[in-house]
Amino acid sequence: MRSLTEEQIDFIREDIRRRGVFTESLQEDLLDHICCFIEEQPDDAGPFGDVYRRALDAFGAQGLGGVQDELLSVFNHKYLKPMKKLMYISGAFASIALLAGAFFKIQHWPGAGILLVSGTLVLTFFFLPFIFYLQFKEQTEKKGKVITAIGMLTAIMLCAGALFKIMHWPGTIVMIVGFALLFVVFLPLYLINGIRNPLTKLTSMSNGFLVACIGGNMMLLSFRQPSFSMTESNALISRKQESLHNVLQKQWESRAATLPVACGDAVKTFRDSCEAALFLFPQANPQDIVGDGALTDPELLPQFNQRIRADINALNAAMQQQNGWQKIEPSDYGSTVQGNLRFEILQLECDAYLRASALK
Amino acid sequence: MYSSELIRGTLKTIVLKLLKEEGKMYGYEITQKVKDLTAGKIQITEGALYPTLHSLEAEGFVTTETVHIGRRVRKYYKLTTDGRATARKKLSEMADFLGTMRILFGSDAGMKHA
Repeated sequence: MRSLTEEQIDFIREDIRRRGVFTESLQEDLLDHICCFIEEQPDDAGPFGDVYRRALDAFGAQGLGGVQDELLSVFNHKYLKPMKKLMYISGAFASIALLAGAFFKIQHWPGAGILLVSGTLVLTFFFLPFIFYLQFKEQTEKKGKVITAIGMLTAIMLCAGALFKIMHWPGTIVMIVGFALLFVVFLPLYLINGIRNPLTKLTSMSNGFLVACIGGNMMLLSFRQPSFSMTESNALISRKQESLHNVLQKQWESRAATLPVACGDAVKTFRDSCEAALFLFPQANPQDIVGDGALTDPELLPQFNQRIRADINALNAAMQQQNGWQKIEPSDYGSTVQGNLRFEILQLECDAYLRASALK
Repeated sequence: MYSSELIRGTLKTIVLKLLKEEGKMYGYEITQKVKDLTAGKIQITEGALYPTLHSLEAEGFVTTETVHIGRRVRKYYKLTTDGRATARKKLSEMADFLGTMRILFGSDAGMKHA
């Protein structure tokens, strides 16, 4: 039976670490294991170095590092399995919620907001981080890990930015940073890294260009699309006209047929103005009105609001004489684009109402 | 010596059985015990034993007790309540499996197919 000196034990401990065993509890196990092996050898088994080498040989060709690798693979397998399951579930939920949300939004059905928000939240904070973790684990090189991390951050920012945009929440900066990361940092790094390796050249180039094209289109749509789209405004006008028509039909059945004619010109002008990014506001210089229809001139804004108020008061006064009209609350007008649009609709309603009254 | 593929699938059961019988054991002791009991026919590799022990610990089937021996620490592994139940289940599964293997291969399988 041999006995080990303190220096020899310290040497073994350090050597275990040096050979790639970084899990502390495994280091303790292996140290005790090797010490037990050496202590069992007879005194005449040879010098410490030889006996220690024989102890290491018992660990096979993979050596001590192999035990660490085996430990990692056991744990990875155990913990990656539920993570993959969660990834599939969150991915499926996000896809279904976003597709349904988009459909609901197009149809103007209630519930679109909840579906879109929940879908994007699950996509951004569950599905993407899971993919990121799994991809990150597969990367062996530091460079690959860095590119994956940047890619994931970009994807998360773009998804969150898209959510802000869809819901008209403030936070456009998130999307701008997302696009900057995509085009200035991620894509160049991804392409350069991928092209250098002959094995990944083709995939990297095709993926890179595909992402660039989709990203470019997404950016175009995100920043050129008015915050209140033509489709939405047209649908809103149609609905308003419909309700107006119903109300008027109740009161002036014989004159109802003339209503579309009464509204027709005003609607057409309004649509033309929207397309030209101009609202029906005679005093406004076209340059004062930005693309989405919001007024930027602080001097024009009070005038504009004043005119809205006057129109609404007139309309309210007229309405008091008729049943079936809803009183318009001051919160219904404002300086935002939605406010502008409501104003236009009120004008249409007002015109139609006055014309209908005149016809009567 | 049996192939490592055969041993790999049964390692967890072997460890649970030994811990059930012996109460508490440390890693080296397990390898030596198996070697002695099987007259050297089964030699558990350290590369497989320690990951198995750590995995059993993570699952809550075994717990450790540390004893300081000079400048090093010895970790004794012992079964938890869950571990004892799992050991019973695994052992009965293994007994059933061995019975099925006997039916499948017969007692003289080696001679017939050699």
